[in-house]
Amino acid sequence: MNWSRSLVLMRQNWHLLMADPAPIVLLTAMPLVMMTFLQGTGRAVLHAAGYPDASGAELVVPGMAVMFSFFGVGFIGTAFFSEHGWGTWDRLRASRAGTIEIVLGKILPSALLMFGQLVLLFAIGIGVFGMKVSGSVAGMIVMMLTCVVLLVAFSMLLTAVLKTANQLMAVVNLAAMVLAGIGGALAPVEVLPGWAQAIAPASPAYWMLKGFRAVILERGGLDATIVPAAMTLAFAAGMVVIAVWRFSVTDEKVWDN
Amino acid sequence: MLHIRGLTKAYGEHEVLRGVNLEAKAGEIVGLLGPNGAGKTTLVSIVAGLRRADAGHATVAGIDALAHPERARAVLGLAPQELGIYPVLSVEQNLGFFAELSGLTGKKLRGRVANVAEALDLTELLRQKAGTLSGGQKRRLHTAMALVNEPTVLFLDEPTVGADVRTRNQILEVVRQRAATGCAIVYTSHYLTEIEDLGATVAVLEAGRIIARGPLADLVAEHGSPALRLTFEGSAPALDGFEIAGSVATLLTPDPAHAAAMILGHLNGSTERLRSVDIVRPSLEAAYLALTGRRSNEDATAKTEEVIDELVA
Repeated sequence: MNWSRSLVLMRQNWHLLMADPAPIVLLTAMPLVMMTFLQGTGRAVLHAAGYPDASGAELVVPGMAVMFSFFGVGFIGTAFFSEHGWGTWDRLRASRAGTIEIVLGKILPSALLMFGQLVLLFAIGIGVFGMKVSGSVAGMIVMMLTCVVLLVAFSMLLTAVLKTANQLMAVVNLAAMVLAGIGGALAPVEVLPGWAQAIAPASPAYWMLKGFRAVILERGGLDATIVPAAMTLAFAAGMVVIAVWRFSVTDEKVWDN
Repeated sequence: MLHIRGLTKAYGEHEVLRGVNLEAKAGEIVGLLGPNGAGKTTLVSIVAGLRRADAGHATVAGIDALAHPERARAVLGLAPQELGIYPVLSVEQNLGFFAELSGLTGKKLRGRVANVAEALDLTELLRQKAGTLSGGQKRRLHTAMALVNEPTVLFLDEPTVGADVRTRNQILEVVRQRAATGCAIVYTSHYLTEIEDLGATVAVLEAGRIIARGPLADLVAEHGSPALRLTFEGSAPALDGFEIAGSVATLLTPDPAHAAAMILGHLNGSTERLRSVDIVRPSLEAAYLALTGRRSNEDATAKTEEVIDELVA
């Protein structure tokens, strides 16, 4: 493992990400638009749930942030798939860079981007939508970092098992809607149908949102994030294990179908 | 500089490499020839660390490339068969990235990028996005990216596929220059004239084995059959022993001048339609075709003698 080479790879991948910033801008702008539309509903739901001072942003900001961060999973997968499409994957592997350096070089810039996306959305949530954090700010940061770890693990899993970029985008879109929806990103789990409430804990988004809710709405301290963060990390660990088991540098990936 | 011994590789039941032996000295260009599916790309991929061999040994500049691929890659350059460039980055960023990965920084890096760009006529294009280059320019950039770390062993896998004449000549010139500095080069191609132009030694790989290896002149002398070629107006007549392709009739023979003297008097009604008589000298192409089993010298000799005997009788 050579850190200076890893830094070269990270910088390269940052350049590749920034070469077409449209998806990044879209995934940041879209949740803001959704927050605008949904804040009123969120306020009504929270008032009915016993939070009379809530602005509604306390529900919709973490919900939209988590849902759209799942869409960001595509960044990492795309970083691998596009190398195959450009014919540079073998060329990269034939360079001095080792497999771990290449993988880190692909993952870390996107992880930074995902963290930045979450920070920006929560900052705008506080500054523009009037979201109040009643509990620990450190807990918020822990949950954001935990989310990024989960998303990176999910990206690795999808990159390892899927063969084409079209499959990747389809699964990412479906997963974002289903996992985040079941987890309570669109409406609190308490108002979901019974069957959805029963399976909600099987979605990592449920634990991510539970952690955010604890520190945003329920005055929770850092300790309130321990269980949600641990559960989220457990999901991440499982995903990484499968990804490592299934990932092969010699697998052919298809960028254009 | 490059030593390969007993390299084998199978994909499932299909044996792609069956005990390949190959050596390349410093400054030597090895033209690696073979039909599609012969195992050329697999061989290059294994030595470059992209695939694992099932058995065998490969050393690159004294480094065991199979046991320590990461160390071997430090002295290797590879331009894979498939074009591999970052279209969204500039030419300079493409070259700079691989130069940085090889450990170059600062002034040395910039100097190396400038040198390689100049050698392949890319200097004016350094700021241009690679995706906007023409096909030939992309091919030159693709080759340049393999040279930027100044490898001591260079693999060029069909580097001129789809290239125009100018690009082809530039790439061949750069290959000669690299060889002159002591770099051992393995150059795979289906364009046999390129191998002749490069003055390369030749290795013919077929069905996973090297079936011929040596200086080009020796291979041509041993396996390259001369031929007599007659071109007619309209379709060539059916002539015993000749291969007919449209208006051209070709006879593989060790003595085409003698065969011409014998045959020309026996064309009968076709003489008036005869437009040219060519004596085809032994070439790498002829040797290659003979070696890869489509024709053989022995067959050609026997056939010619038979035809001439018939005509004389």
